[in-house]
Amino acid sequence: MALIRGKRLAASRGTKGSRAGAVSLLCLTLCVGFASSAAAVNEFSAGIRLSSGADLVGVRGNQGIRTNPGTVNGVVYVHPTQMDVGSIGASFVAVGTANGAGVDNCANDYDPHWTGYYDGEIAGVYFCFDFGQDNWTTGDAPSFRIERDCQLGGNVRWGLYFAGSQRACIDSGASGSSAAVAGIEVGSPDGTDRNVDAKYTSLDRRWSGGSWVAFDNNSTRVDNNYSFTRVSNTAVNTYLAPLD
Amino acid sequence: MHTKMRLGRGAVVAATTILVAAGTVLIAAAQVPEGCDPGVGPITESNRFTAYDARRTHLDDSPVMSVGSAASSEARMDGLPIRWEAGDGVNSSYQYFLGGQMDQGLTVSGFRGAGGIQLDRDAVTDGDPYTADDVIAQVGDRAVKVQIGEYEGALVWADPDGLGARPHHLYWSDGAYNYALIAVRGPQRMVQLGREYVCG
Repeated sequence: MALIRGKRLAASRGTKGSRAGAVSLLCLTLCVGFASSAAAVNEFSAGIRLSSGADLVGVRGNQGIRTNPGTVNGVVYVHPTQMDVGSIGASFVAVGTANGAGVDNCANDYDPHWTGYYDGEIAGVYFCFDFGQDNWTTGDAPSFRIERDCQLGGNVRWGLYFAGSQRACIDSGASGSSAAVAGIEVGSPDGTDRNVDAKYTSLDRRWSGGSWVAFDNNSTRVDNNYSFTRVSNTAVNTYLAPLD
Repeated sequence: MHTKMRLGRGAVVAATTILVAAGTVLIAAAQVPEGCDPGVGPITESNRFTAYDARRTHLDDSPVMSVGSAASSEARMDGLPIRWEAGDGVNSSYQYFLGGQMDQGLTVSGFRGAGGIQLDRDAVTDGDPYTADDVIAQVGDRAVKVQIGEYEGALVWADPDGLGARPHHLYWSDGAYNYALIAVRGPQRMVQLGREYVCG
């Protein structure tokens, strides 16, 4: 188990000067902080539960891994489950399985097996860590849970759990979330569709002060040729058709 | 020719008033605590960042108006009117200030790129406040400690968003609430905005 508090989150190894690192000269006079974006295309299929009151404190379920993606160099394949901590789009924590190109402290993993990871952005800084190298494969359905329930120095923080074990306990200024997400994400230099399928089951959410109830997604994000199916209020499929 | 200038009584009173006022200003300036001083010195920040496409996953760049409602107050930040609010208003209050009108499709990164300012306030409900030291413990030298009123704040030059912008985040806590101010502004202006909010 890795504790985030007290540990530097972002190694940012050599990312300064990366292909996205150049600061626009025009923006030196007109702007105060722009870095040119790289050309990689990130595509999603995800079920989302939004909360206007930012009072979501947990999401849990099982992540059914349905594909070996036939990894391609430079492509990132991920089954992420996320919580959008605090206000929408400001910070997040996530746990799931991944394959393909590595980033930050998460290594390249070009083989048919899936590795556990947790990542996120807290205080504007991204972090990523691996666990359970190659522990999962097609057909597995490991459990996951993100919940504001772990203790760190006597204070309650965001716990990230996968396959029954706590993987991280993360500090944040917010005690609730604006959204919970379960889906797939593919990061590809050229935007080519990739065969990544995941079937999420036993999906629940928890409100602050409440019990676990059905996830019951009230939003989605589905890019281009990817597909999403709401199977029930506790199950969603996220995939590139046909569903494996 | 020798000219004697005689000051009338009114002129003497006016001159005295000006001198007293100037003295008052000088004394007041000397008494402004550092945390409320609108003058902010140079801030040295880390140049390191993680590029947007150098991340394993990303948060969906949702429309700001996905959650919340139109603001009803007259509050302003950096001269911008408040347009949108989210949170439950008790444990969480998220305010969005923007020069132009909001529209349904304006995403979080689009909002920031359009010059919007976001002020988040979260109640300290289950433990210690989220302090500047907590931020620094998490992100190391990506954060710079600054004084915001009587509170220690942490200023972070954030990683770029999907549109290439790198907003600044300013965090502080008054013990009852944790605050985050997020905008595409220079570091000194962010500190000034935080001080204006805290010091009034």
